[in-house]
Amino acid sequence: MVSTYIRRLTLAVSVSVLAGCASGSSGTSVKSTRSPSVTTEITLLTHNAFVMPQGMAELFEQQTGVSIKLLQDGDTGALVNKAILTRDNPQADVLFGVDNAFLSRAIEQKIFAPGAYRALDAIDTEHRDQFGDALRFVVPVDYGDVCINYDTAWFAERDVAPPKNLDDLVDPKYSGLTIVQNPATSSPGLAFLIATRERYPGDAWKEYWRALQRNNVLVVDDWTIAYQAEFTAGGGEGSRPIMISYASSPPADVFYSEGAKTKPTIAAVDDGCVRQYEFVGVLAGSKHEVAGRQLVEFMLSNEFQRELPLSNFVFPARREVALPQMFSDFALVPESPVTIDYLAIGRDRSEWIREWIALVLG
Amino acid sequence: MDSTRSRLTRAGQIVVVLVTAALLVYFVVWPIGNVLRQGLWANGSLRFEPLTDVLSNRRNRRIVGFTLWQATISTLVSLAIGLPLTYLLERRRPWGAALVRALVLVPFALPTVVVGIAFLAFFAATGPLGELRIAQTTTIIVVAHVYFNVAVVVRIVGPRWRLFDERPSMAARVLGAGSWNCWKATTVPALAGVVVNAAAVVFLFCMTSFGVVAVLGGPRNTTIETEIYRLTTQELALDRASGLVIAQLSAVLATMWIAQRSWRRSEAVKLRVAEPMLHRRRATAVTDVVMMIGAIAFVVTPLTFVVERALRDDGLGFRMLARKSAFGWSPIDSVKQSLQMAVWATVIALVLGVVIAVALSRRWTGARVLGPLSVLPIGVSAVTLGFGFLIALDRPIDVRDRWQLVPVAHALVALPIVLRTLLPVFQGIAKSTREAAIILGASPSRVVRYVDLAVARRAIGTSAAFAAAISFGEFGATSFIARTDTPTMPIAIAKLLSRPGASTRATAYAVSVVLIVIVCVVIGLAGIQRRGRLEVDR
Repeated sequence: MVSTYIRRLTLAVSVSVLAGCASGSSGTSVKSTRSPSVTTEITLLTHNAFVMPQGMAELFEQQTGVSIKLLQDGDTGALVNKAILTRDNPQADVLFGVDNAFLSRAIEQKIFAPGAYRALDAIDTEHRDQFGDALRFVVPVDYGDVCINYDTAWFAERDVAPPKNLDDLVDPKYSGLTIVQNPATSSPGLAFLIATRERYPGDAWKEYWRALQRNNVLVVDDWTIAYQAEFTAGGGEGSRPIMISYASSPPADVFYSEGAKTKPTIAAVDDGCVRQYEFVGVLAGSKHEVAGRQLVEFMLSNEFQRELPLSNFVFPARREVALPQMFSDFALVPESPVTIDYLAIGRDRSEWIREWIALVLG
Repeated sequence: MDSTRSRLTRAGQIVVVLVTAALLVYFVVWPIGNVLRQGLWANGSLRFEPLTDVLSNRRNRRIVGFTLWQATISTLVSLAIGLPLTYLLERRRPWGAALVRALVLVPFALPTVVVGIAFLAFFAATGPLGELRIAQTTTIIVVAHVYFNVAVVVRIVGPRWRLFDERPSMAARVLGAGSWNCWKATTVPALAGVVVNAAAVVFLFCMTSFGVVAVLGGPRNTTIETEIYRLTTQELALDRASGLVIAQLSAVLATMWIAQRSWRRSEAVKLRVAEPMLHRRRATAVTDVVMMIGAIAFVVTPLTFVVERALRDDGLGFRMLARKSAFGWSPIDSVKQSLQMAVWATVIALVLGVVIAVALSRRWTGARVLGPLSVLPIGVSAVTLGFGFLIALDRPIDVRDRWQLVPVAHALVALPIVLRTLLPVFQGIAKSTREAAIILGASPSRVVRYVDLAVARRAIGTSAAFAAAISFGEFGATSFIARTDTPTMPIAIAKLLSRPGASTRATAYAVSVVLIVIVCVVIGLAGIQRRGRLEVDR
């Protein structure tokens, strides 16, 4: 009786209510991504922001006979934490996307299988040596700088000089113009906090943030809100022309305008920039370690690296990779970006955030 | 013969209850339990510090206090707006009532990030309502919660209010009761239970809402949910997060206990299938018109923002829909993906919802455990559930990255509201009507068809629309499930908005418009189907 009841209801409801939009499509596109294959399949786990450059998965399969299943999950923090919680039975073979803020936690918690990668030799010492022992487990794939960004059109229209450095942000001339992201929830936000701690050592950073607050800084939770809702050169409705973003935002601004722009209307400030690296490694407990290693080496190959700028808006870690024109024209390469010992970030991150919350959010 | 049959039925009841309970335990209790074990169990013993920390730590106390406070205010305001609107739509039924009833459900299906940015555009310093200065305050959180939750009040209270038997009130009036006394003696007892239930669901949604608080509340307004998110995804402090999860669970269980108690008290009031007085349309008053216009403006205004954004740059966003995005999928694929997930989620939620509603309303053996179990998914934080899936669902077989997990999660999120829509109606079906049918020789399946279904049809339509709407808009739980394939629309929108540039943004808003249109169509279909059936009845 019950089953008749349920069957009828299910049928009635699914057919009549949803027929209009559902007919004939059930199950097709979902299944197409998991077609059975004779080749080895390995799983690449990465954060939500990663974009697999076009044609690269196919190229890798041609070269090695190994196909890639891409699994995307959360932001960098969530990604690393989940990998730690599942290290006894990992979901994937290779993990890409750990950054320097989370590297030491990942290494400490032993989520990566040890191994020396040939690809390391192709990376300049500048991008390599600071990571010391971590390189026994992972390889840096790309880097990008978090910098102050501003709306060039806004400043030009008003005939106001745009900010040139961190000090300018506390100048009353720029009062009420700046958006920063919460370091407790946003990766560029954390980078900016680190920049201020580095530039204003001791307790001076606290004074800097108090001055920022006096200058009516707006703190929001993440990049999307800052850019899409508050930034004048972002979503369009915003009222503040300065925000914390990336040195590669200007080329992205042109690239994603679909030909409407030949020059960016966003510029990055060459002061207080913080360099973020992203790493890849084979997960401990992977059942396809050999194939996993091949993928790590592949991600450091010239073919893969040169696709990174215009797909992920980052700089390739490998030396002598040609940059696309749009990048060399518009991306800022900071003179001397802040690079912080990844061990220090790992050790003190929580404390820094606690101090910041107490100081700024009260 | 008869005794064998009833025993079999009883065994069948137990099996159905057990299977349903097992499913809920596997997908809800087991994952949460695993997170709590990780957080509270160290070196073979239970740690109590995270629990005591919730009460002793000043920041935590403030977070818990703020969470309960904003949820209470949001619930009260939702009721204050939702109840008069329900009265208008279900009892006075002015011209256009069906449209408004459908319309209030639309916000429910919109991803919070889109609504959040729309609200910011209106309430930001330079926006049309910037003078109000409520950006990053509790007020804007409450306004947004009301925007999302008026639908809950209208849709849960509506069916019951519509079926409300007017004869006792009329008798009371004839016998000389004043309108206030009459209202107190007849309307209040009949509706108190369902109103408290609707309030409970709204309260749970507001207590555990993430997007609204994160996008609109700003970094200063921290709730239990946003703090659990931060502690879990950024700090990996599962111990401290567990303390807050327990606090959240306690509040959820307390809310449900209160709701259930008040429900039982009002259960005595019976509903009838026949509604002789109901379909008489009354004269439309000026206040009706004002309220209708107000309701439409409230729902539609933020949507106009989304549409306007989507149309910018000569409709660039719509032209991008069929093209491959930077992420490798085309937005059209995400539309298909969402439709598919919604179909599955609706079917799963309805099957579970009807089974549980039948079991609870007929007091099947052991059924009482299903009530609290089915409300848990909206009472616990999405991030806890997501992390729980990850560490718990790899055994006995690894289902962690199966696509089926997405519709299951959607169905679980929709289940409490599906159940709250179905249960009052199932419980309201007079036992005597059913018995009369049996005595007159109706087989059990005919009783189901001509009694239960006849009465519950409308509620089932409503809950299907609700389930589909929730699935279309679900972001929280979905975002914590690792995926290999095309994202659903809300995830696609969030991904597109996380990139700079005009074209990705335009595409994101175009997808939002598609989402709004689809939701309107689904809800409209549910409405049309209902009207058709009513005519057949006559």
